[in-house]
Amino acid sequence: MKKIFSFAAAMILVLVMFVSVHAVDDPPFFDSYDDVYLYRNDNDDVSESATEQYGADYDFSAPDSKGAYVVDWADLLTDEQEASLLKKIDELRSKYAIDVVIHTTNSIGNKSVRDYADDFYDYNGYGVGPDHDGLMFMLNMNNGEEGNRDYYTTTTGRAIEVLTDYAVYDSDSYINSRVLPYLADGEYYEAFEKYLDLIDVFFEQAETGEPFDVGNTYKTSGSYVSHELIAVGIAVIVAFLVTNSMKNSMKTNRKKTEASNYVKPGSMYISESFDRFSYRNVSRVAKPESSSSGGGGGSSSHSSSSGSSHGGGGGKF
Amino acid sequence: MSSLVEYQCPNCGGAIRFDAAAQSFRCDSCGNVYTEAQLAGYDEAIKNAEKASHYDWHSDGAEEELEGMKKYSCESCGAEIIADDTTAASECPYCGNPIMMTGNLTGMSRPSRIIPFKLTQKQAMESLRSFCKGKKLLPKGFLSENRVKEIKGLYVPFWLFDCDANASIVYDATRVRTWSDSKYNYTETSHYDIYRSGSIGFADIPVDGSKKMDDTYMDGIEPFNYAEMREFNPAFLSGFVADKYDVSAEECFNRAEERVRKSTEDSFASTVNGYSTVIPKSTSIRTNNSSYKYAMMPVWMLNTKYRDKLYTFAVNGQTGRVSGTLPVDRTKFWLWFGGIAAAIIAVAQIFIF
Repeated sequence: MKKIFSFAAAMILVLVMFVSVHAVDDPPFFDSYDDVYLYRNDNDDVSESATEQYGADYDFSAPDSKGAYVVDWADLLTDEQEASLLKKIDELRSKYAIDVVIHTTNSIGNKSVRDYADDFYDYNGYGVGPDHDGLMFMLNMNNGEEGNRDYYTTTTGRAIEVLTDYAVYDSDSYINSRVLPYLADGEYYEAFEKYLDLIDVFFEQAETGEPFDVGNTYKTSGSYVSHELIAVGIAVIVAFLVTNSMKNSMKTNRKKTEASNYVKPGSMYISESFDRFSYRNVSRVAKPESSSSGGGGGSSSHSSSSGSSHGGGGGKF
Repeated sequence: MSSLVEYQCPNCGGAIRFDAAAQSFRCDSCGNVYTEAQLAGYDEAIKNAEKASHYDWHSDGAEEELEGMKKYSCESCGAEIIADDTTAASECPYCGNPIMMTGNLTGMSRPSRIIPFKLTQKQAMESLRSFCKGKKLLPKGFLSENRVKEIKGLYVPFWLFDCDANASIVYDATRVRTWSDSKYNYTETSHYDIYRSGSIGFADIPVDGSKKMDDTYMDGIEPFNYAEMREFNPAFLSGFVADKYDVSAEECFNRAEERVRKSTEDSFASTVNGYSTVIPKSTSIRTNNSSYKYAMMPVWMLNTKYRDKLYTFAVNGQTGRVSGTLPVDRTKFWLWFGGIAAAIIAVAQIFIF
């Protein structure tokens, strides 16, 4: 009993150590803003020229006075919430030299949500640089018809490569699946916040040259935790085995149950032996279906009515 | 061939039917097919292996009495010690209390073999010291603070068992093969009936014949080097005390048989190779040419005291092998535990991130 308590105490000790180790390492993705920002400032080609050429001179036809990057026609957000989202968007815009737009509407007319989003983006002149780098996340509330409301992300230029089908293609895609629960609960501000946070994560990853995709999935802190738990488990088992063998070496008065020391050398003689095949069993198990969504990853893209190339995706909620 | 001959299926135990068309035997329940030769051989093997294991021991020593010895008893722990006329024993080698001579020894048979002491008292203590070396969990002060209260050279009575073991063992073994095609993963398990029959010889398996002496301590100082074993001569006892056997050879048979059985099984199993699993189905071990002799083995008994606790060690008086239990420093234990665990977790971070 005493032993078990000591063992439990040691487990807790190890866990505490693990937590403190982890506290230093975490968070895995929000710790290098400053570096990136500095890098951006030093790099004249990208951020400064982008700001010079496009930053201040957009011709917004969007009839929203609060700020052209949050176009809340369906009026789902309070003024404070819009301001807060705008602040986030501004950060993303300067950090990655892309446009980020949030748009809500009650109706999209006869257009598909994809065409509506592409056209809204194109005709309002969003996008940075010759390829109009940027993205827009929009909700079509469809006049409140539940289950028939749309969410959609349209991407252009560099954003097509960064937000692959893995990120925004359909309801199973990484970002969409993280945002959908909020949308379903009517927590629109939280949904947009989450969305912008994930945009940050995906663009930050893309800076490394290896954007998240099916072959390079985003590891959630959940998967880190489970890896840590496995590491802790292995560590405890190995530590126990090593210390236990050290402890065992302290005791040499043990009962012997064999007599291998006393076998007369060469006395073993097998007079009769056979190894006879008796029968065999063959069992088969169906292989798990390989995932159908093309292992290659990447982004699907199309041309909008204005002829520019768009990627992205969405669904109903 | 008579169709009345009845066989059991070696695999499932079901009834086997002679299939006249195929000229072979067929088991209706599992579908296996056997030739007559196969069945006959198998039947015999099973019969051999199902014979009850049997051991039969007899003494090879002349049952002479040991003469010219004095008997001492310890009033405190009840040990009975013998020493020759020239040796004055004053302390009990087991508990350190004074012992009293209670008269001349009578009725004790004379050992047939003896391994004389080779290690001096000093060398025995040196053995204990080197046993403590490199023990990472030993409390820091154990070597320096540990006081040897008592060190006594003692001849311990042993029964040495010789025998040839004849064994017939049937194993059930499997071999597993896996492969896959585009749709399925296949696992093929092939079952084999394996039979081994033969013999193996054992010489001088020691079992201590003293009740006072803890068996685990005596197992722990094995093995002795029998090359230096001599015909018993009471002269070797002078200067040392000897324990009188109070466990008869008959009472030690079980220990010896247990060890013979285990080693025979291990040795036979080591001849069954190339299978994924090997499970003994039936085992029969019979011994013959079994004999035992009575021998005296040299043992240094050390009683030491560390922080008011007594620790007993037995040192093989021939080879210096130490048997006993050293104290474990709990702080050291958990420091090692935590240190190793922390190191592994630290290294794991490299792979996780």
